[in-house]
Amino acid sequence: MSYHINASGMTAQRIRMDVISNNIANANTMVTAEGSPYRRREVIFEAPGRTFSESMTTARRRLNRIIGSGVKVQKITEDRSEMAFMKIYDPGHPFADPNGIVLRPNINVTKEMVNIIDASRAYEANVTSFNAYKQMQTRALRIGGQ
Amino acid sequence: MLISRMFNNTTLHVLKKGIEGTSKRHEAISNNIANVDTPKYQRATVDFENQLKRVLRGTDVSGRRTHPAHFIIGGPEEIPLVRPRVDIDNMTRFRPDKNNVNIDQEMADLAENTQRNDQFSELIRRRYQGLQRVLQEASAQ
Repeated sequence: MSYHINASGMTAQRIRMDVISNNIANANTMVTAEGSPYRRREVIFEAPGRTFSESMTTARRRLNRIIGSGVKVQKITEDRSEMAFMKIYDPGHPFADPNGIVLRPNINVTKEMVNIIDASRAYEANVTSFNAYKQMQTRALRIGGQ
Repeated sequence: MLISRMFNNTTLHVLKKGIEGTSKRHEAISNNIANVDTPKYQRATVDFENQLKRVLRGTDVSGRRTHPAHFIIGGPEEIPLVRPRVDIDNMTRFRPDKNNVNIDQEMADLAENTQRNDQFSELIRRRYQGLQRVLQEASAQ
């Protein structure tokens, strides 16, 4: 059954889309709980069942297991570097330092929108695969019918 | 004996292996699609055609069985034992993050694989339909 593989792909892309949406929503957030401007977040995926040791043990037991079992979100990372922030000269701003520099989140909304499209398309690809499998199973059920 | 020959023929076995192989391949393609954004992921491929071809051509060594407990080596009896072969493609380079899934190729493979699975299903269905008709005719006599 490969429905769970497609479902894992859809879930992963949905989480990615949530994180990108969060980045866009916070494109102008100057203060967070830790006091700095909002830091850009990114989702990192990993393929369970496909690390070297895992594939060695499963390959020994059953050759077929090395396909893997979908995708999962390994972690959501934050850009921790100081370079993460945009420096804007705006002396009148309440958060400006003595030199008149204001730190803003380094979020490029255009880039985030492009990533949203990418996530959306990848989600659709998983849906297509899901439907194809459903079609295959439906055809198989017709074997033996009239 | 006759019934066993009706249902135990090469065509049916090959078609069943076709369904099994395309299902397995679908799993691999699904996994490749799901991991289109996973760094370092390497695509899986499934081959069952060449495994079947090897057995069907029968050029390999085949063992004669004089006892039912003997291993099956070669020949048409080996068809039900053929298993699709899964490989990891680590030769293709596609992206700097070492992920080598080409989504266009995967979607094309998906379409082709689904259609072939449909064809196998349809052929099996017709095969059984034919057998059913024969049995009905026989009972009508």
